[in-house]
Amino acid sequence: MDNMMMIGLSQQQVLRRAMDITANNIANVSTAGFKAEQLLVEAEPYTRARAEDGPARLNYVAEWGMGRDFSQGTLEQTGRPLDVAITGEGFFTIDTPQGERFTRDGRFSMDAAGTLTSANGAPVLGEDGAPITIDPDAGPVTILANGEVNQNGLVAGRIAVTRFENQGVLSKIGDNLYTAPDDAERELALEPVIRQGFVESSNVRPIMEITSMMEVSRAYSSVTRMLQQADELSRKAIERLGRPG
Amino acid sequence: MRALSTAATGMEAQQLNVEVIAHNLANMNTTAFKRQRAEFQDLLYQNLGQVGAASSDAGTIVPTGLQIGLGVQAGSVYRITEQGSLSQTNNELDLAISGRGYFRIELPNGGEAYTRAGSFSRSPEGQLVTSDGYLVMPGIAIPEEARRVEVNQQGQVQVQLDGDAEAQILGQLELITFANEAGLEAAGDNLYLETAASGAANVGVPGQPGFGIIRQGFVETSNVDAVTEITALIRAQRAYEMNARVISAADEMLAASANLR
Repeated sequence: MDNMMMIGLSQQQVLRRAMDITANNIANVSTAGFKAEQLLVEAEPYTRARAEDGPARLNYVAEWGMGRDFSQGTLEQTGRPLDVAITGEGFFTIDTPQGERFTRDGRFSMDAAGTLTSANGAPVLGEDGAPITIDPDAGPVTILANGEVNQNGLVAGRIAVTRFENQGVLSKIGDNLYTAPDDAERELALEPVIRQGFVESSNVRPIMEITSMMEVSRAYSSVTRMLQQADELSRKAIERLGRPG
Repeated sequence: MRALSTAATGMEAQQLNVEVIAHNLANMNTTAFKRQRAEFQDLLYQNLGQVGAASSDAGTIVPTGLQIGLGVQAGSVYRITEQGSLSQTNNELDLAISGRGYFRIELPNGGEAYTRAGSFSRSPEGQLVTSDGYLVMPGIAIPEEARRVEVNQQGQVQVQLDGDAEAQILGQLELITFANEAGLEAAGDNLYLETAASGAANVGVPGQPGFGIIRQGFVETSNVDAVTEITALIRAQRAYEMNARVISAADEMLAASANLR
């Protein structure tokens, strides 16, 4: 009997977590460069029931990890000359005070000194590993598809696009940034495709999220019902067996 | 339950989005208004399973971590400084800037502000002033007997006086540019103020490289595009509704548990 309760509880916990992730996806439906996430669930095969007379093997459910959908978000035209979006793989490299960080959010601007910066004001790194500096007083800036930043026919630098062998090693730290472990295999994309005047929008698919949310809440109520029935059953058993005579 | 507060951050963000859109739409007919856009960033993440943690004694490694995001926050509301279209007024003191730059205005408190709204007038003393009566710098005094004021594309102000055969030069208008225009602080009344983010004011003459030219008899219209804004409004509203759905679903889950006994 207790097994039923424990299994139900383990599922409830996982469902709550799935709900948290769905809620985060939906909250970030307007976040530039956001990548949707999904909980990956598996049966937990190794945990045995504690009851002496219970079955030998019980399957609990447990979360196994989280999958991130790195598919391309749609490009949205903004009309700002320093907005750039990557088509295809790769990340912009941002030099934050905590070290290099990666992002798909290409809403760049120029600070008072002419340095190309991310939305949070940290410098965007060029291919040579140095920030890109633009002359604030010299004409419009053109960014070519390969990331080259041009001004008045002169090349001011080339925006670095970092690719990872395995994007699963990236972890999110908020503010649209990712970190990678130091030993992650990474390389500079040789032929990146960058679009000027566009921003990559969030790749959250609202209909899918709402559907999975419904699925989660239905599953949750059915587990709850199961728990209730288990409880009912044990109450009845106690009542009946405990009746004298 | 995290989902409740996560969805609440989503609703708050979309509310801000709608506020920005409303402000743009309200200023659809404001001279030289620059539209704004709210941009969002994901909030903190809670690490429940670290990426790269060992999953067994044999050295296998968890391929993906388990991170749960806590929602969204407004990153910034930035101004899109795209040129607005020029609309002809035939008023001789309406000056539009085609290209980069701002007019410099002297505020009554002695400070300086910058504007692209060039619908100027003449003060009782004959000075060139904004529609609020603030002096356009450098001060240009138009004599009473002036027949017509001419401003050329390079900002030179000339005037034809009654009885004079030749035009008389009254002065030279200046334009101001900033390294980061989007960093200017909007002060209302079509005025902007210099900030640390915008960089220092850079004075120049219209037509010089990096500066726009002056068009007399035109005003710059607002760069708000009604269709874009309405589309954004619909999207914001739907996103708001979805976040509200998450709250009610999460609430139902909590209620189901609460009713257990």
